[in-house]
Amino acid sequence: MLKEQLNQLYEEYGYRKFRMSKFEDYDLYAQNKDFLKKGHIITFTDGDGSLKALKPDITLSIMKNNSGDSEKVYYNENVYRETGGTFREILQVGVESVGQIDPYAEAEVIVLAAKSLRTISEDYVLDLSDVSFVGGLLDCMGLTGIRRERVLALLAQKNVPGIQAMAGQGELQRRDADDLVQLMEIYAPLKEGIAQAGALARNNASWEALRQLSVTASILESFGLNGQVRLDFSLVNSMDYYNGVIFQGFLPKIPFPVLSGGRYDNLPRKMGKEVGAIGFALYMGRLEQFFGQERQYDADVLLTYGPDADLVKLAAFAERLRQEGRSVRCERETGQPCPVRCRKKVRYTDGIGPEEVLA
Amino acid sequence: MINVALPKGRLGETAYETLAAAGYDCPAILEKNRKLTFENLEKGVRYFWVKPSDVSIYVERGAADVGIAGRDILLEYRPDVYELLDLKLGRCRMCVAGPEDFYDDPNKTLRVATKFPHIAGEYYESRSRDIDIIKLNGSIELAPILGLSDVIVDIVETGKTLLENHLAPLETIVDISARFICNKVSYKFKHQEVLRMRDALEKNL
Repeated sequence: MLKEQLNQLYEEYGYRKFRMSKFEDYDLYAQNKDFLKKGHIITFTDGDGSLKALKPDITLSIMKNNSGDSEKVYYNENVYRETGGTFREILQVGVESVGQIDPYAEAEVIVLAAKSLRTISEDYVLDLSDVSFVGGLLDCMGLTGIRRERVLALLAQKNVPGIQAMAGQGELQRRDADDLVQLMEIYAPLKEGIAQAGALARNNASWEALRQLSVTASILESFGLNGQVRLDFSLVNSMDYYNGVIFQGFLPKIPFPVLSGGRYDNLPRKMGKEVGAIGFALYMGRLEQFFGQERQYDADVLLTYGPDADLVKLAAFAERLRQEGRSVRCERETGQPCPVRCRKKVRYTDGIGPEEVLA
Repeated sequence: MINVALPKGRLGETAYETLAAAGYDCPAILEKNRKLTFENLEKGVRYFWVKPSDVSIYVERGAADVGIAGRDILLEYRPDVYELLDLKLGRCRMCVAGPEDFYDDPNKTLRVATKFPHIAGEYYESRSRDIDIIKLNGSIELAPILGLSDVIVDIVETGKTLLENHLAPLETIVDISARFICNKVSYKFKHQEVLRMRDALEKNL
């Protein structure tokens, strides 16, 4: 049901459904390894001897099929990924917008992300960052190689003591450390956050990133999105995949991001296509907890019967109960306890009336 | 309500005292009984004691919003959490230790016994030293004495235990102290509460 609601939302914005087969040529993943999350791929040899893979990702297939035109698609597909040493099938719902990505196109995808989360819970949070702003700042600090990676890891942890320790050991200038600490402290509604980040911008790249971001923020406002989109520079994951705005969605009680996405122009560029791209994926598997209305019973009624019961009448009686909206499991008495758990247990005898069970 | 995971033991007790002094007291915690969680509704805080190495797991998975964890645990298990504050408690060092006159023969694979295979592995990898990690769960000092390993990687507080066993700290890998950590999603949904607790703690250090 949730899936249908989401599909409808995307279609309202004119997004087309993207369907693909389970299998994709392995070459696609071998050539674009950098764009895949780490982990193995399930491969097999097809009937004609070519090497195929169970798709670990949808975005690559969408980009592969893009002919350099503008395209707005959504999908619900299973992907196969390794997590914790075993492969899992994960249902992913996602949106990709490909073409000349201007602030409008960017804002539209962010709005779809926010509205997807709102479909699940009014009480959602969408955090946004801009990797080109963070990248520009680190460039100005002259951070490269291992030191840059360490600073990024510390940013992701909002690790103030870690930054201060680096400054203490002379690996960071005092002023740079202070700016990084301020950067980590920013956690505010988008426009407010942009104003705070303005104090930290040092070069043109950073200014330009902020200017773009504030245009996007204004468009988001006219889409009716306020407050629940926040600026948080601790989202720095996959800095080589994404090149601009990135975002993650959170829902209460789920301790992981349930949605993640961003601007990824590097992938089409690598494939030789003159387009930009932005998109997100929603991890449906992580929502289970949220819809955690666990079933307490296998069936409403457990109807047991002895060897001498009239089976014709029993069938009619059980059907009658089902018409009343009860789920009924019929079980012949064996002397063993029944392995199912039911709300009510009733022994069928001739002449029993439905009222006795329905009461 | 903020859920706080405290590590069992002296560090946890000191950390609780700091939290209590910062306005998050919960008198029930001092009673001797078998209860597992302790609440002070008025202060909006619930405490529970867990094994020190489990604190980061409780916090990462959101069963606790915040927790107190030693940096050794954070470096070893790499939980995906925010590390908001250095509490400057439980200070010690992660060290390589071995016999006082230990000579590291570069022709041999170094055998390292430790409770912290991740930290030890990374340290030696950064120095391109080929090692054989022996994961132990306690009494690490025994390993070089019995010839199970050449050196150990372990926490050194005063160095007394080492000295008694005729071992000495050879190299310091990293300084350790207790950290105030926070679940990433709790940081978003309980932002004000978490920051209030962090700032109160910071003032009371």
